[in-house]
Amino acid sequence: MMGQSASHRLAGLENCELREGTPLEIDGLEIASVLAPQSPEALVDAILALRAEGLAALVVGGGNRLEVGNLAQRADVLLSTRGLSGVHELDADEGIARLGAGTPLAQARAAAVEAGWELPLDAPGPGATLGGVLAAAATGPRALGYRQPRDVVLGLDVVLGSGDLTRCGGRVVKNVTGYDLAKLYIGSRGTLCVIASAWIRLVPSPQRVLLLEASSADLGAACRAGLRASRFNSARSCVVSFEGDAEPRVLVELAGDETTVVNDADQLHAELETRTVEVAALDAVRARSLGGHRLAVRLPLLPSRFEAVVERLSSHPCSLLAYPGLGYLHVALDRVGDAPGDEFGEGDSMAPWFEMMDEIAREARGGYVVERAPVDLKQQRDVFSTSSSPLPVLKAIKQRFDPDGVLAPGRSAGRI
Amino acid sequence: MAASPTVSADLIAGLEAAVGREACLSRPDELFVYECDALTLHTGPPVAVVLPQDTAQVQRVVRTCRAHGAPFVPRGAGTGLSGGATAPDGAVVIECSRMNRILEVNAEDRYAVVEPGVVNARLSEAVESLGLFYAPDPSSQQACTIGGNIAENSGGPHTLKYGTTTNHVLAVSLVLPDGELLELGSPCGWSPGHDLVGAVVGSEGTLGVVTRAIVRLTPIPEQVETVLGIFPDVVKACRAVGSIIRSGLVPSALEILDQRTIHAVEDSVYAAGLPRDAGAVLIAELDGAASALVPQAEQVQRLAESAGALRVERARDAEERQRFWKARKGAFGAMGRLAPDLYVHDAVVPRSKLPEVLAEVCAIGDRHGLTLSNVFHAGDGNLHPNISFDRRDEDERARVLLAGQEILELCVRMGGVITGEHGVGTEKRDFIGLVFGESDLEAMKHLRAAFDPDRVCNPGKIFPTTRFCVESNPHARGYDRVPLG
Ligand SMILES: Cc1cc2nc3c(=O)[nH]c(=O)nc-3n(C[C@H](O)[C@H](O)[C@H](O)COP(=O)(O)OP(=O)(O)OC[C@H]3O[C@@H](n4cnc5c(N)ncnc54)[C@H](O)[C@@H]3O)c2cc1C
Ligand SMILES: Cc1cc2nc3c(=O)[nH]c(=O)nc-3n(C[C@H](O)[C@H](O)[C@H](O)COP(=O)(O)OP(=O)(O)OC[C@H]3O[C@@H](n4cnc5c(N)ncnc54)[C@H](O)[C@@H]3O)c2cc1C
Repeated sequence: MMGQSASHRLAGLENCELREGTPLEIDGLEIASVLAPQSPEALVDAILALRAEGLAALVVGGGNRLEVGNLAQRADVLLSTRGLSGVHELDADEGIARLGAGTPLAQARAAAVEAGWELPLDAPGPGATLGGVLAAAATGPRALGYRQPRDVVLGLDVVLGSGDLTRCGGRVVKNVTGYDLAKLYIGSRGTLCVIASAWIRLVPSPQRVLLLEASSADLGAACRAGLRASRFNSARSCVVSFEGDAEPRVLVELAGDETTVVNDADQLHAELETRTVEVAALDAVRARSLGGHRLAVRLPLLPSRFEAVVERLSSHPCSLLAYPGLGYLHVALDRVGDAPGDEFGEGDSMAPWFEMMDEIAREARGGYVVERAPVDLKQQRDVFSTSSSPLPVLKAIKQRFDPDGVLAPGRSAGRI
Repeated sequence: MAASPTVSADLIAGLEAAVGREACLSRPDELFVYECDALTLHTGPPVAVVLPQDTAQVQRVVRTCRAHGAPFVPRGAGTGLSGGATAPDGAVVIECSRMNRILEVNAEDRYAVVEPGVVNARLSEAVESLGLFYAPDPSSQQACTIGGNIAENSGGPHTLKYGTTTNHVLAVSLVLPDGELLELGSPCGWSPGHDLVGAVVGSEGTLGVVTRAIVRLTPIPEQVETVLGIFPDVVKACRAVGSIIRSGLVPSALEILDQRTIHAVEDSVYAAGLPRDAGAVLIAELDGAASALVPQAEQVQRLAESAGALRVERARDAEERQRFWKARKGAFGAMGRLAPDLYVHDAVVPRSKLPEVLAEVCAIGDRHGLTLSNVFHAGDGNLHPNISFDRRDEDERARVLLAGQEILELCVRMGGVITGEHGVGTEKRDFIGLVFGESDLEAMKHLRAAFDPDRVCNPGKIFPTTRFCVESNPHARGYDRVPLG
């Protein structure tokens, strides 16, 4: 909670709104104050004021995924980016755009389309912002074609936890001038800096987009089919979904020039007996299978491991969303088994399940992110399953970029 | 910095103990070739060169350097063009050429585990029979190493479609400046917390020594079409590039050679039968599904013609295509015929600004009475104005440096940056201020400090020097106090 004088100080900031609303609960912390700077300079002032008052902030874009992260040690205010929105520049000759971080992705996509281009970032939840997607390094299903957020950002303007407004990269499509700090900031989930705006490289609008669906009797076959489909020339997305008792489904989005898309569609139809469905079904399947569960995990996997892993996991009552071409799997569940008492969160009931996940991750030479979990579970484990090797460097980075822990201390990997 | 320029016998003995006597060079005649990289304008002999065979040896070398207060410089093949591998005063060079094994190839999951000294082209050759290749293809790929590529985030002609090195590195093992080993990333792309692999790629050997990397392998495209546009001048060729980009096509490469380059190439062993009367040629390459390529190549042809091409040809077969690429990639080598030294410049501008920038770049060369030619990655807006000169001619050397500076200033004025793929190194450290302000550089220093708080790993690169600061402000203190070579 903020003291009176701190409140007074924040309320007096120029070009920055301070609102008290219904408290938002994140991981057991209730935060009622929302600070919304209206310009990058006002954002600097806001962060300096927070620093001076010894307060901590949780950055919020569209607020779709605030729960991802370790438990915050402190969070006194929400620092909203909604005042930092807008299409600042869109160069149709170059195919690049500079966008405010608070810009809703849907708006940014529409602006690109109007200029004859496409924004290679997926519009996930309602109102997701550009800054939120970059800060979370959110890979939508279309990342197969679009590539990852890190691959489409040319430059960033950010305000560090220290209060410094700094820039990295630029507006050109190739650039090695100095360190590639954009890589460090993308995916740092509001723990090192607040992204104020970004230069994005747009991609040509596809001539044709088709969504094909196939069902498969068993999950292993669906994964094999999914991997095979992911490797078609025009495959922009390929998702294998498995929800409870329903048959596994394979959704393949093809996008590109007319000839390639039509040829690929014919071949897929011959191989997998696909049918054409509405393009919107891709977003619907993602929203449905992940929404509402108490525990959600994201597990990176090598393509060759999918079949074995999904078969192993499917013996538990969970929803699975596999991206075999992209190499990751979403697992969502509410209970570990069908017996009474198998609901998770009760004491140590989840321990064997996590042991299984740890084993899978070890075999995959990776780890996983627990994207959603009840507070008591988060108290027990680092949701990023961070190994010890990078910890000293991660700590040193936090110390340098956010010396007083203004930005969500404790939320990052290793509870930093 | 604690480094002493006098070579200590203890240091050499320690290095010999770390890697073996035959893998430690310290006689002046042995060190001579390590005096610079491919940027011959800056030189600086190291106090010793070690050739470790594995990660443990690199760790021992780094710890020995620390114990003696000596800075160290990782080095690959020394083909760098910004002085990145050139030794600052008192430094030990850690050459990775003996760590050149391909440790694992996984065709199904499309990655390879390699040591840093693997030569770029060798990796593609090794996986070709599996239908795969390593996409970043610098023109120096027959010599440069994956470790050097990672440090510089190197590109190449096919960067336009496939991206630069950073898009192809999944994991690295990094020996930190305190000798500890840091494992970052994984073959499935997993990295908890921040994307430190992304931060290490392009860090010019200043955060640690990469001793192993896991890189992505890419399927060899089904078919390739190569179009050669012959233009009366370079400005029209640049216009064609602009209209191809705007058309929504995604060629894998769009490269331009100007007339002087064409002549140099045609006079050399790289001769490919390029027309000598052309003011410029544009090599446009498309790849992908066979059925789609013919109409796309025809579209490129039409766009080139309407931009003013004199004629447009298509490579008839793989052999002819190879010939075009041999000419393109051999262009720098061919220019060796024009003068004893070549200054290969590197800057980027927005692609739509290419025609006016190119005209101005040529005017700068003329104004300084220099032989300037252009061969460049036009699709990325990545210029390489090349200046042929003789470094023994003091006056010419000064004009080369002045022209280089004017070119950088021009590119930045046009919304561009001072390097697209060769890095800042020592070459451009004093120009980085054209692009970034104090606070931007400060943020970079934060990253540096998190890895290398004592600035012992490749000091004197990227960040402006005292000498520069002192010239502009006698009271300023530079970041790394290392004299220019
Ligand atoms: C239906 C649905 C499906 C989804 N599918 C996927 C998916 O497939 N893959 C995936 O990865 N994600 C997915 N997401 C998650 C979500 O889209 C992303 O996490 C995205 O970041 C949300 O944007 P936001 O603006 O709502 O961010 P928020 O939820 O507001 O913030 C996300 C994180 O970023 C930080 N942040 C926000 N803005 C900034 C900024 N400007 N600077 C610094 N930090 C900032 C926040 O502190 C927080 O840690 C999905 C969400 C929904 C609702
Ligand atoms: C004829 C010619 C053509 C070229 N064409 C291109 C081109 O098309 N595209 C392009 O991008 N570049 C090009 N270059 C530049 C150069 O080849 C690249 O920068 C290349 O990546 C350097 O690799 P190297 O092994 O020679 O590294 P070096 O020159 O030895 O070193 C370069 C940098 O990498 C660091 N380094 C080397 N190994 C390691 C390691 N193991 N760990 C940490 N740091 C390390 C060094 O400290 C130095 O800072 C060209 C150069 C020449 C001479």
